[in-house]
Amino acid sequence: MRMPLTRPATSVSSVLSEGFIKNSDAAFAPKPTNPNKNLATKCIDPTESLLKPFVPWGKGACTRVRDFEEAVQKQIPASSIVFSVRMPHNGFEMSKLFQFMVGVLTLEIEYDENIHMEKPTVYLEETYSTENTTGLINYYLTTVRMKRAIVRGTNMPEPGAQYDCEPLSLFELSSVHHKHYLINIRLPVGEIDLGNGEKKLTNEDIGAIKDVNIVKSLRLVILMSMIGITITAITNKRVFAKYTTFQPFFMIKAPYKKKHGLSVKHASYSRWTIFCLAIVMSFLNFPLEWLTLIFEIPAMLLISDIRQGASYAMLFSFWIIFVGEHMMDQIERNRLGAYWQQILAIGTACCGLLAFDMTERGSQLINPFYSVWNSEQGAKLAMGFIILAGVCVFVYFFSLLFMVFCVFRNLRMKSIAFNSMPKNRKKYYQALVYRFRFFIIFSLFCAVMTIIFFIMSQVSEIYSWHLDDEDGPRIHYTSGFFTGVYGLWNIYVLAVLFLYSPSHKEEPLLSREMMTMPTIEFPLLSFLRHKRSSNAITNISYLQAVTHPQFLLPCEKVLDISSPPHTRSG
Amino acid sequence: MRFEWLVGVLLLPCASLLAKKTTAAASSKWWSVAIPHRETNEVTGTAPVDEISGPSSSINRIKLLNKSQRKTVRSNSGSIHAIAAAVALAVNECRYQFRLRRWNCPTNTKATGQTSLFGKILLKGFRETAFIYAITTAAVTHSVARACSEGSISTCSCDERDKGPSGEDWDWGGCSDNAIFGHRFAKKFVDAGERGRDSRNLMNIHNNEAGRKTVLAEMKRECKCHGMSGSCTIQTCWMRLPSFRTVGALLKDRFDGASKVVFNNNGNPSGRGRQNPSDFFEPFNPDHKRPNSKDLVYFEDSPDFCERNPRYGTVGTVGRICNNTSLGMDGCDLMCCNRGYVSEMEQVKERCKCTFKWCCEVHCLECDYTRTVHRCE
Repeated sequence: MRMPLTRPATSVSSVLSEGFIKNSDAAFAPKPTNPNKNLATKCIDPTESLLKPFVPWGKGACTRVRDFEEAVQKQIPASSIVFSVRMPHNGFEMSKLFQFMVGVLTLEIEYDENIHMEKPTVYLEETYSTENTTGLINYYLTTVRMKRAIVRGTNMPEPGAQYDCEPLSLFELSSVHHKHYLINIRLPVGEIDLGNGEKKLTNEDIGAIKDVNIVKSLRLVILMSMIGITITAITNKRVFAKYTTFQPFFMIKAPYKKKHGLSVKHASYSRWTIFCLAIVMSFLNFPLEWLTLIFEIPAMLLISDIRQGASYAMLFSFWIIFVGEHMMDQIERNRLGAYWQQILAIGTACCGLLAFDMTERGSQLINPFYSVWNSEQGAKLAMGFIILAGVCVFVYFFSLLFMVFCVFRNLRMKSIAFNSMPKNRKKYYQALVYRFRFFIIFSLFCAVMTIIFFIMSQVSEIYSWHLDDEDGPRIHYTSGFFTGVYGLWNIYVLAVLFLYSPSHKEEPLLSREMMTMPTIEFPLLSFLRHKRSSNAITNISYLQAVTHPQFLLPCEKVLDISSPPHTRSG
Repeated sequence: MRFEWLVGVLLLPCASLLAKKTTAAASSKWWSVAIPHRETNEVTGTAPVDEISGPSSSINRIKLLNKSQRKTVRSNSGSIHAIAAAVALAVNECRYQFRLRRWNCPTNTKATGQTSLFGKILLKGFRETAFIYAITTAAVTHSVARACSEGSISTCSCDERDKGPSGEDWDWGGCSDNAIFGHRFAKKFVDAGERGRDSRNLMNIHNNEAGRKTVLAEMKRECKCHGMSGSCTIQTCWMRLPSFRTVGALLKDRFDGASKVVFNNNGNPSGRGRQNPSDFFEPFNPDHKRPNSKDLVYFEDSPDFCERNPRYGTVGTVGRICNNTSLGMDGCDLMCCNRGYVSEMEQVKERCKCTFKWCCEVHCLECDYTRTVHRCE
């Protein structure tokens, strides 16, 4: 007997080998994000107006103080000090190859015996300008921003040591389209009108700030690839895109051909799901980010989040429908309504996260310094959305696990009757069981690998910074894992597409046989099981029953699941 | 260059004779870049020794460097300011760490560029000498790394090696762990002063490396997650430079546990080939373990620093304030070398009950204290 999986097996092996190439590339890829630390220059703004940007170096550089002791001597008030960072450093220019830029603010607060800090809150006024070769072209201003600078660790050994401060996220730019970026930050002291008539004393208790650092983090447009391996990555991505784009059309063709007298409405739901999954994955793999090389698209982060979300939603839906169709119970499942609970859970989770993402990233389109987390109500709302999504995902996984359990239970029952089935049908069901087992094992493998990758990336990052191995190979595991997980799920979806898409090859004998007598076994088997327990029916009588399927034809409508059973070449 | 070692061997006796007079001054000359180059070159006991001034003085400063140091500074524009800041940092930290000891890190009041900032103690191989070298080198590492993240040195890069399939030096204007550059710069710059191969040079090179390593070992990794909804799918991690106080405290610990070594003849004194300075010495007490690369080493026992000694340029402890209840080095018995002390009642005005306002405003009350002050005789 030939294995029913020869065609997909070869395809999968080719995809897998490609996947390994991709992963080995990834091992030498740069870090997924490229952090870059900038120490802010302390400019002096005697007018304390927020109308003018202050440039730390270059043409029109500001007057500056070296440290705060100098500022104390010169009696410069706090509100006149502008922390200015121009990115990148002198002599460099931003590259459009970067997909986004994230800024993190770290404060260096020196321990002083005389100063007691309790839950210090930082109030920042930030301005942001972009600059091209022609000079400053944009100027944005954001003012109200409260941040809680959580000081970790309170036991300070001696004066002069630094507090361990929590880094604060500062800005997110979805498009790095300009040559230079200038950030000005002020920490004004005094009474500030918060807008709604409420007044507040600001920056009273933030201690002896010595310096302000901004860590900017950049990610490449071509995710996890870099100049050295770009070409490979491009081809890989193209190959993936091609497979995933065109494969579904081949697959979906078959049911429409009506070669076996099938109509479209008989095409089972999982087929549509596979088709949709292929489309969504193609969309995810499509290198949309490359558009930022030409256009300034501030919404790119939002778009890629939505893309990612859509692919998750589709994958989740696929799982539930696929498992549902292998349930082999009496329930009509060839309609979306049968999965309403799970679909509702997925939908709610997606909507919640979308709402959150729209408020966070959507607002950042206008104001890159905005963050929901900065205001208390916003943080509560955001947390609410995330918890809602988390609960939904939990419910979903619980029901998925339950369904998988049911399927395995049913399969075990069915497999008892294999020996007594006619050859073709036995083969068909064996294939069904095989496919399902393979699917579950493969899914489980991917999930476990993802978790392992995640843990290892966390661990390896911690230990990757060694001093003494300067001559040793430098492999950025994180991005390797990152690429690895990305490639893994791509391979997963691709394998699913190959394995579970309907074949366009003809299977005249089996098909015809199955056409004439679809889906008899299940009611029969339950009947059989029932009878077996009472020893009233023998194998021979069972075979007789099967060879006279007319008796059971009324079940056809009920058990639509196996109506067009296109098995692999057997 | 093949005969270089031959020349070296022939000239070695002469060189070592000369070295006694020249190397210490040559190797430590660069410290003087921190001193403002004015007519009255005065570094007072407590004032910070930092003065960043215009381009004319930075030319003057460069004159104080030797040839290869000059080359390093010229090829990394902006680094001279970082070096000047580093010396000030090192002196302040040294004074802070040694404020309670007999030797309290005195610096020359007259620094004309000919004599060294720290005085003649550098001609010896004391523990204190080891500390001075370690802390100044650590300060250069720290200060250069900091200047890199401020953007005032334009040549900073994450990695000088252009090896690797992915082009390691792909940094787009800076990187998070500039300390590697700081380390490399300090090695190139500071060790260039130690051209000889006598025991003192080897000791200095080892202690310099210990200082640099201490800075690097104290780098802390910080991370911030900014994936979708703040998840950690996208994480940015960077290295945070330690505060120099932490570095100073660690080096002080190393000072307390420094190992005395003797020099052997295992190494190749002409300096050919890549050899660790630590190959040339072994612990004085054979039962002790070999010092590792972060330990400070010395080969001469320190004097007691009780009396004024022009040979080391120390002033002694006469007139120093001591603590009559302490049993440590700042206690009057130890500090005054059992010479006894004078106790006086003094009216001290001190800042108290300070409220700090960011920035630059400290509101304090002036409180009068009557305090008994003990001074060594």
